[in-house]
Amino acid sequence: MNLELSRRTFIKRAGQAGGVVMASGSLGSLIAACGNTNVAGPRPVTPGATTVAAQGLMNPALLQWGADYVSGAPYVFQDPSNPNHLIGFEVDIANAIANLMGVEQKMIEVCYANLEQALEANQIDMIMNGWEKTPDRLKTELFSEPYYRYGQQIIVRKDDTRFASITNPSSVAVLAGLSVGTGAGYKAQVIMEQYNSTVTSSSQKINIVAYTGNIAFSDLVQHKLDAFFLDNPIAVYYVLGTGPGATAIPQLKLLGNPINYDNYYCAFKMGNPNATLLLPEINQAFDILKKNGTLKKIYQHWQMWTPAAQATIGIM
Amino acid sequence: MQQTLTVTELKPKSRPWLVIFDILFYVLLAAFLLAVIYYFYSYRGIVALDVPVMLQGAALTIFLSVTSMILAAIFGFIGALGRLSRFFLVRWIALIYVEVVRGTPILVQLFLWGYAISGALTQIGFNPYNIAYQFMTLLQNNSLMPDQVFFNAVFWGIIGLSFNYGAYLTEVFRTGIQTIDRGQTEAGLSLGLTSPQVMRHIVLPQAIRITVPPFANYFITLVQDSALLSTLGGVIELQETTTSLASPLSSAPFTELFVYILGAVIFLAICYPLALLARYLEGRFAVAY
Amino acid sequence: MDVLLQATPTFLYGALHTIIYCAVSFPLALLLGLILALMSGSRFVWLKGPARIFIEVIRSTPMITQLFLIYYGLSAILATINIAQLDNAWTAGIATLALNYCAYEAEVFRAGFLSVDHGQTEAALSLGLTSQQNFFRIVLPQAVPLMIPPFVNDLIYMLKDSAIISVIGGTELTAALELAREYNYTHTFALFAYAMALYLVMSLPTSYFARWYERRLRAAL
Repeated sequence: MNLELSRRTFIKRAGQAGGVVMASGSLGSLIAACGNTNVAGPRPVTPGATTVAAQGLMNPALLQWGADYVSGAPYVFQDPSNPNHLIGFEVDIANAIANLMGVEQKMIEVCYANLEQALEANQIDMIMNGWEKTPDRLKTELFSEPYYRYGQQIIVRKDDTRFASITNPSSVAVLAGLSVGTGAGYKAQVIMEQYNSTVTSSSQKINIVAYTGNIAFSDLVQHKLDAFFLDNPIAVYYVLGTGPGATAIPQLKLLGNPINYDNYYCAFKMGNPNATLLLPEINQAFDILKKNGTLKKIYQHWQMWTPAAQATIGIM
Repeated sequence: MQQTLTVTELKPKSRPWLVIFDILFYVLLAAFLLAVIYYFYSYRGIVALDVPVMLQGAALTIFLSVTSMILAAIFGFIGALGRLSRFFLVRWIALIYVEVVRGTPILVQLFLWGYAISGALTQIGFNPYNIAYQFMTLLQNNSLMPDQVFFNAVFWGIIGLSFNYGAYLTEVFRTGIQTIDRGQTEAGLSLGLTSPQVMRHIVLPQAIRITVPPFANYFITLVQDSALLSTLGGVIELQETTTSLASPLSSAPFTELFVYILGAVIFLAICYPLALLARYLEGRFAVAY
Repeated sequence: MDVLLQATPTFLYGALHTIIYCAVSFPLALLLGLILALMSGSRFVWLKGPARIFIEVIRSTPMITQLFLIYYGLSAILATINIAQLDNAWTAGIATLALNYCAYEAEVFRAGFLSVDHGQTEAALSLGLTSQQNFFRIVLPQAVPLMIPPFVNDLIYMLKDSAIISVIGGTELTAALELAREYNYTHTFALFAYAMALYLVMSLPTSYFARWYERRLRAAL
């Protein structure tokens, strides 16, 4: 089992709401309607629809999505008992979408830093790997609707009395003056650095310990740190041991609900005619999966289900 | 000529009561060995579970080391020829290669090859896994191909290690070539031997005598440095198996410590015989003809 | 480039930490190595045995294995009595560097002492000097100049081996490089070149000093 976590660069501002997505989706259907008579436009979502068209795929029988499985738990990672088999909540989502489309799904392994290049080079239909909207990415990529609303989770020791009175932290200010671990380049690090820049006294600043490679939760258990602060899917996976290959760490607990919410999206290549067809189809698939409870079941299985947050993006 | 003098051998003042500790030491040593055996016996479940996995890792370690050493010898030979070249530019390039590679940490170089250079080449489209896969398809044998991430990591790891050790071997080969007196070659040629014969019967035996001992020592260091490949993602050699078997055991600290010790013991089992071999070779090759 | 300028403070801090790691570990390694050398050269088996076993074990295991043992393995044990905070990247790094290099220094010391002609010791003892006086006033002053080039070479190796500490969360130059690369993976080659240049600035002058010293020594002998 490889405990290394994925390297992801998060940029400061969260993206704008799905206005661009809606605009591009409707524009795409307009162009399709006004232009080719061969191409069938996306079907409107009818209640009870159980299939989705699969027009925009490069390979009509295969949904090829890009992700990085190296230290990618719980997004997509190798089953420890069978390394050729990939598991993870994004694998589950891809399977659900592919079922709706009547096609197979295949994850194309791309190093996380190269996912954008792979999309540009038309090696994949879309990116689905915990991808957020950032101003830079909006210039070259189209985004689907959000499929998960994630937050940053604080992890502390169970017997730590300083947090005994806090049931749900309101912001990262609760970690003022403590040593907090996170992954290098994670959005959590950016959030903590932003907080530090607003604090003047150095004793109130958060001492950020960034791990490149192995994120050693044992450091928190052994009192070398005061807390961890990182994305809630990863926090839940390692602390509660929600999947194969993870053992629960009984000395640690999740401190309340996640904070600093943002969304995960699928990304498509702007200007690719296939992408303009595929994007509304993926959105339609997400709509169906949100309403018929499949996404909820997947997130419950991976213990990532936060009802209040997911309701804001339409997952019932 | 040696002077034969009868000199009464001077011994430092002997303290016989301290010698009693010698006997005590042997007794303690026996007790310590028994304790070690008992320690391993008490964890025999873990041993039975983990040792097979670690031995697979050790097999990969040995494969990595041998392959890297062969490649490093090639790099070293080319480097040595470059260092001794007639052309100023070639000498300079070789010198920069040797100085930069020997002056920077091997870990940084492994990161450079495994992440930066492999990333840049993948963007251009060069993927060693694809080439190997095609090659194996030609041989109609690509069921033996491991997974792509593993193959790429091992590939770039071997290149990184060989590049690093090639610089050290450059110096070894250069010393070996330079130490052979030109007069030997001239004498051989004047006696009517052809150039290849001179190389084979006169120059190489002497060169081998000089280069093999440091070569053997570098091989041992290479086996140990192959453990650094565990920091690249995807190379499942001995150190990586040890870490991945030990880290989940954070709730059983003594067992975790035992797994780390087990990994170290297997490294010992690989490197100590090699060290004895290296010392034997050193002794054998120290005697001139 | 402005990426390099941005990274400069962290890189220089990292280089400083690298130097601190070596400046603390190397004298410690020399001291321990001297003790080990004296032990392994002793006529008493109860001194020679443990010393030789220690040296052989250290030289036959990779440094990263030793580092993980001391940092992860020992921390796990210390956590049971709640003093695992003592075993952080600094202490584990310095301990591993010192323990690993003292084995190699012990070998250098031994070779140095053996290189001093035994006749010197015989003459000293026949003149009535004690063993101790012989060692400190006759053998050691003659051995030390011979041992300095290998020591300086080992110091250069230690400068480079300190990079391993970045794996357990240390804050030295390689860790700074990795952190900078996380933020700027488009400029990864420039950052690598910068870090390698810093390492060269630390190691090349030292190696030139060793070579100059060795040349002077060989001329004097």
